[in-house]
Amino acid sequence: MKKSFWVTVTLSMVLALVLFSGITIINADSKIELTFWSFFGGGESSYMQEIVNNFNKSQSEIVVKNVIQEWGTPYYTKLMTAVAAGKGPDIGAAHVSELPALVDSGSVYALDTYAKDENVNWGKINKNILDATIYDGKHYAVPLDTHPYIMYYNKNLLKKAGLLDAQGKPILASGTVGLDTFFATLKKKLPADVYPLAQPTNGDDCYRLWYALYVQQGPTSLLNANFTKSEIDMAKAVKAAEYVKSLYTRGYIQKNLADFVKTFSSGKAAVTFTGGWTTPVFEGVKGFSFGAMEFPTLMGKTATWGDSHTIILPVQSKDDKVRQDAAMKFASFVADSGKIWAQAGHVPASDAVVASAEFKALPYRSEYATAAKHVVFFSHSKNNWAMIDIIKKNLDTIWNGSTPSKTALTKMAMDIDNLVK
Amino acid sequence: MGQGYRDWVEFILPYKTGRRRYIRGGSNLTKKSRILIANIVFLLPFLILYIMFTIFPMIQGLYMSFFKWTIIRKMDFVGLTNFQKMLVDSDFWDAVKNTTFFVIISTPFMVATALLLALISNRKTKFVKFFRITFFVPFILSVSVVSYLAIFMLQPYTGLVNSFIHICGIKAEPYWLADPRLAWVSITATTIWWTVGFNMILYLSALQEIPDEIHEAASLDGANNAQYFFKIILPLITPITKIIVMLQILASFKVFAQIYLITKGGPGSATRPIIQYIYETGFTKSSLGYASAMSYGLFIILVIITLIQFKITKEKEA
Repeated sequence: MKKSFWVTVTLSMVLALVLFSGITIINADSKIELTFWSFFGGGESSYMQEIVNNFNKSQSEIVVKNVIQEWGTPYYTKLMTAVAAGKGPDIGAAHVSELPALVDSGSVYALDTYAKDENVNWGKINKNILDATIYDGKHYAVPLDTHPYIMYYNKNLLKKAGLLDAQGKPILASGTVGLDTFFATLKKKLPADVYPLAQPTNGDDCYRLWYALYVQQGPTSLLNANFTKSEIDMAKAVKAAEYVKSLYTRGYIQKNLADFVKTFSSGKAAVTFTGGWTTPVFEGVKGFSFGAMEFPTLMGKTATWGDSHTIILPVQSKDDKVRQDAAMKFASFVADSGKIWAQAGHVPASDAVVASAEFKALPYRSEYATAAKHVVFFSHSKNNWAMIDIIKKNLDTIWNGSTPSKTALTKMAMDIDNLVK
Repeated sequence: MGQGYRDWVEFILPYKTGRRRYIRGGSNLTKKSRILIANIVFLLPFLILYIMFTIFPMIQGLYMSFFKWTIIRKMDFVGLTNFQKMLVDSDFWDAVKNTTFFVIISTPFMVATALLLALISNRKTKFVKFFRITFFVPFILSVSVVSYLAIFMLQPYTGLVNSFIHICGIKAEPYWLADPRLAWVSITATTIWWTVGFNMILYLSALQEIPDEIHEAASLDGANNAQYFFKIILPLITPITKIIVMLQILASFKVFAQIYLITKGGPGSATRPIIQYIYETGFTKSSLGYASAMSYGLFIILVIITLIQFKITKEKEA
């Protein structure tokens, strides 16, 4: 009895296996299945899924499977090891700042042949962003967007403090003096448990703030021209760090917030600085009246931190032109879906989309679309992401008060030297 | 060796001569070597996995430590350069210092708390099952669950611990995860809560092996509770204490996951343990050769500590 039961189970499993594999074989015959790895989570994921669905519906030869991975360094480690093992996805997402590492390690295809096959028009893409994806005259990525570091404000709180004008824009004078007065007024006029600014006390959004203030003073890179040594203007770096630090010490920011985005969206802070990708998150908060604008010019010229999402074609163990052409078709389709992608809070890479009436009609996004022009991108160094890790670690010791700015920044420069030499 | 095992030996390498001559062309080997070969055959399934996943990576790691080796296998032989670099790398020594610090602060608590909990759950009360289960349950949780519980409880302003402090009327806002000193307290407390159950079980089994007559005899001789504990119980469980201390030191030297999940090694790199530094070097900085060299650095440190420990224990016994 027992034996026959197990025999039946085994047989039916074998049968199921045969059937299912049969189905895949049939599928593979008629359609090209492509795997797309990305790291788009949070507010972005539904929009990318929408684009993928649209693509799958738009034609009948190619099916793209959207696989979402963990954002950040783990994603790139996984991607590079997968490619090295000959098991990389057909299509991948990449930040323009990590592209140099991918190109240098030979993990991505140059796109020109496939782009020609698919009649990709590079001309419609914003030149600043496009230039960042060209190495030795070859295109290595299809840019989707720029995502700048911007400023969000709570309209109700600003109004309460008398800092909102008739158009619903903040009354904010230029320079650090302007921002200081702005924050001081907010601190005075708002209840004690509401803070002028919501920022974390460590990690990404702190280094981005420091970086924005640093590049506003003129420098355009943290490395020398061949990316072999750090090149940091110490006086300017210290000035930017001291200013950020003073926002904590003057009590404008509640220290060590667990979730600064939530603090801001729950009305416990009047302003926050972070990336444009947070727009859909704030839109999702019921009854939350907020505004978005470019990161204010505090230390000289208008400039901010930013990065750009791109689509890449990871190198395969066996070149298959049909599959790579299909992948290119998808990449081009995503780039053309700028109107949907803009809803994720990013500034689309296509100039035409940015100029379109539809984009202008989108709330918030058009307020900071100009910021894309003011982003100072990271250089073409293959060490950008490891360098960002070093920057964060050292800056964090300034914000928590354990190390003086100059000491921490000197250590940072030394660590970068060790990394890139 | 039972009859069953001998049958298996017979099955694998049948006798040519003797009582059971049912297979032709059997081996001429002696009994001893036949058993040896059979033993190897039985060990083989484990050995294959052990060689694949432990021995081979160890040898490969040593090999890699002599190369500049990136994640995509760009390799340059650099000899002992990685080891030279390690000796002067202040981040490496900071991380070693952090790990050692964790070992020093966590081990005594880990051993003492385990003994205390074992004593409590060895008392013959109504709640004995409740105590044993409660003390042991955290150990079966995964590290991510434990770490996220810790993060939620230790958050400033709204976390359970700080809310409790506020309810008690204390107007303070300790930053359990952002202040370097408090971060160590948080990590150590979390680790003890999470893993002490295992040590407790070891102690409990040792305590249960102490016969009741000893307690009777001691009380007849007029020993009070303190004397009974310090003069009789403690010496009797010394062997298990030695094992627990050694296991604990080795385990604490390998600390990584809970720190990585709770503080990410921060603030800055104030709580970054050596394993995290090795991981970051290998997979963030794509420098697997240097990471391998540092792994061997840690290995050498652990061997030295274990040898010292053996020596101390032996001297005491002598």
